[in-house]
Amino acid sequence: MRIAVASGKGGTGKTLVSVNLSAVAGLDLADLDVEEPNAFLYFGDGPSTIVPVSRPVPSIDRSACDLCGECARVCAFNALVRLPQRIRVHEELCHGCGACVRLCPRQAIEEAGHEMGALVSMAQNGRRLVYGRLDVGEANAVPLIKAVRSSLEPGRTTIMDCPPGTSCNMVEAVRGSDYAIMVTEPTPFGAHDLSLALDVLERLGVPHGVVINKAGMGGVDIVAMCASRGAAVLGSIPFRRDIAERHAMGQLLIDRPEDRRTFRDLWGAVMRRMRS
Amino acid sequence: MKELVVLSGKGGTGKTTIMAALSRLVPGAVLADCDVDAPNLHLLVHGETIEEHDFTASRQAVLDAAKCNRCGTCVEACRFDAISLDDLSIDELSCEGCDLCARLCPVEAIAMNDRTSGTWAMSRTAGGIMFRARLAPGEGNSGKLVTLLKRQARRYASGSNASLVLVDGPPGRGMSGHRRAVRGRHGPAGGRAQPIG
Repeated sequence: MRIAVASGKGGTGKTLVSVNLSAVAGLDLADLDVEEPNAFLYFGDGPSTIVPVSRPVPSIDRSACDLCGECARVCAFNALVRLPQRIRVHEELCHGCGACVRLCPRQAIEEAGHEMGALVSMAQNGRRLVYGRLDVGEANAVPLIKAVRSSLEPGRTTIMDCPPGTSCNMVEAVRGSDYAIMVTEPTPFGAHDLSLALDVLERLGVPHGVVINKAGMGGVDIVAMCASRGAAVLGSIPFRRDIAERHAMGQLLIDRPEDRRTFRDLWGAVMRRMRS
Repeated sequence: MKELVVLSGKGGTGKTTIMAALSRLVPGAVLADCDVDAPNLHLLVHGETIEEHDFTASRQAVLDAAKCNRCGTCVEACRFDAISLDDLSIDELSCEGCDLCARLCPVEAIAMNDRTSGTWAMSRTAGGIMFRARLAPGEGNSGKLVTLLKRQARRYASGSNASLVLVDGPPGRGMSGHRRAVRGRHGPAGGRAQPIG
């Protein structure tokens, strides 16, 4: 089972909810925010396994290429350019669609791997953490997000910390989840971006509920907003200085009994929603 | 004309707050909200929309069920698992517009249509002109939209003799918007005094 934690706006508390929920419920954790993975900061030190992840890009066999330029014509992403003496490949623009390979009249193109990042995994007390780490300046995170998702063990329930926003990275992370927990804050920004993110979840058909983080600040009525959109409120995390401080120091909140209860109740609400 | 970019890495560190404050301090600066994925500057810097345009940067495969003979060539070729022969449809969110299916289809049952990936707008605010955009849910191409917004902002700034273009950048450090938001200009980075920042 896969449970996505997403938000729309950045900095609302996706990682806070992910790390504490997975710890209190004893679940595996996956960080799909491959541009800025943070969940490992809360997982403790331990030996990790690092596997490089590549995506396919064209490699031109210059002895077979007759510079006809068909590959450059068929590439929808302008990743191939015909120069007078050779075909130039812009690997950063390539989407890996394979059109140039299939359509080259002289079969002069093969696919080679372009390293884009790494898949990092570690284990602690029977729980597994896996995350993707995108190389700086890589344009397309989607293949790495797919690699993290497909490394998850199907029989185990995993909490997935997703990237912010609503573009293809967030969609790729959330797609196919059994449930999505949306973390928001009661500010105009939180509400605005939550509304955009709910549009995405509705379009993807992923069942979802909302957690209100920093409850008590801001003054925007998220409960009313959720009611008008037909989204369930799963629980709230109070706006308290000590919570912000402990989280900012890299500590788990569930070490303190009253906060442990907050996350236990949240997990209970998620399980009830998933069953109904 | 100078260009100042506000960036962070982590989301929620205060890029938009700093941008909104800077826009008040430098009257007449041209603003560009390049966080096209979740634009927020307009919530702080109110304005009246003067122009609004569709943003079209890619194409989308569409299957004509009446022509399709269910040979499966397209399904086998598509790297993005976008095509389903069960209900003869192509998933808009998965299709990247590479055109390979349309080229290989033996009965020409697939057409490529222009795809509207979002909108961009110019508004008049108390502090000056603001350019902003909104990428449609699930769309890629945010880099192209950032490039378009910055070009519009620069063009407007040089036409109106503005001394400064202020750019609110997206979070993260991938290239989609980031390197394009930064490219070749001056930029402070917002940061937070904690390990996660």
